[in-house]
Amino acid sequence: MIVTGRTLEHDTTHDDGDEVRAEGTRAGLLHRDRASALARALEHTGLLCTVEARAGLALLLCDEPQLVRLVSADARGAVLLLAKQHGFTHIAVEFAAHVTA
Amino acid sequence: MPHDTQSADKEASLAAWLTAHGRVAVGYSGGVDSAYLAVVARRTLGADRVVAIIGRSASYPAEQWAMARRVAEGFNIDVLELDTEELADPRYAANPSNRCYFCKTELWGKLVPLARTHGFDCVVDGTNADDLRDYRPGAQAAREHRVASPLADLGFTKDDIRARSRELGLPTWQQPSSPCLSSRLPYGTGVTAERLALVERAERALRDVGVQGDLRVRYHDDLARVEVSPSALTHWLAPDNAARLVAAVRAAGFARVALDLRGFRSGSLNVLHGVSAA
Repeated sequence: MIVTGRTLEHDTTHDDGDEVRAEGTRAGLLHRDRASALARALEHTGLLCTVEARAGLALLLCDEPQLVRLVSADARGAVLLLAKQHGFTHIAVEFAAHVTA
Repeated sequence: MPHDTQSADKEASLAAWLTAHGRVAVGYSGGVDSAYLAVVARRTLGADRVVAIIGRSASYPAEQWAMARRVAEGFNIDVLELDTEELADPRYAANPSNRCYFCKTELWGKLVPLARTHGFDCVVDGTNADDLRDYRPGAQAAREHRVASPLADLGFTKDDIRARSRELGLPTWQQPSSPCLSSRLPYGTGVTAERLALVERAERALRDVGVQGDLRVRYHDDLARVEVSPSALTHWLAPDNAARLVAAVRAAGFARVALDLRGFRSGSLNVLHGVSAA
């Protein structure tokens, strides 16, 4: 799983550095937990991917055979539902290096 | 009552409103709403009693400006242009959730006096009734500068405006909604001319490879999150098409490219940052 520094970076604008770093760490752990849980849930549906959490955005990284599964509107609907159940407001699939012109 | 009849009735009310005000300056972007308002004003009041005023800055897409000029020329509407400098305002550039308030304060703070120097005391904008349901801090700036919103006040929905625009022959009738480029940057991400240009290049490149209808390139630092119409998702997820999409966005300057699986939704970043409901 990948945890971004976005939440921590955002919180460091507060005055109390130690407290904010602790809040940022907790938020980071929360994001990582949600990302891990979503990745596991997706795996149960047969979709193997890595999930990167960026606040409310879940970013799926999968290889091309997995990506092709998402061409189906039904498959996308199931993914959207799982993302929502795991607390994400947005979900996107990253086209990784293997998707090249 | 059929929708077409309702829309026509609203247009009659709008014409009466405009006639009662005599001379109007339209805050004009060339988007669906302000284009319709300018054309109805021109038809109702005549050429000498209407002016459309465009505020130009880095957050205003060049494509939108071209459409604004095209509509004005096609319908013989006088146009004035002014430069706005919202990016020079640190309150705007910091990109808070009420960013639009500072933008519109800059816009109306220049546009309203310009209108007055040309003899137009009544300034109107294209806010419609649907807009009132979303988070729109810019509306406060309009109120502070006594800018009227007759489309919203008379109950025009976006669908009404599109229907009447089609009837009047406006090329904007099926144009996607087109808020300023800064709306592609999450709140808290600084607004710079370079980032806006990056987003604009990416969206233009996607149009060039065939993306039609609604489109947003949401800026997430090194990552572009592309929103297309939900009906177009199946097409753009197919490997060959995805490859063209990726190539276009990378050529524009983004390192990473992702496609939003829900597709376009207005105010998407408001939802992401908890400003409005999912």
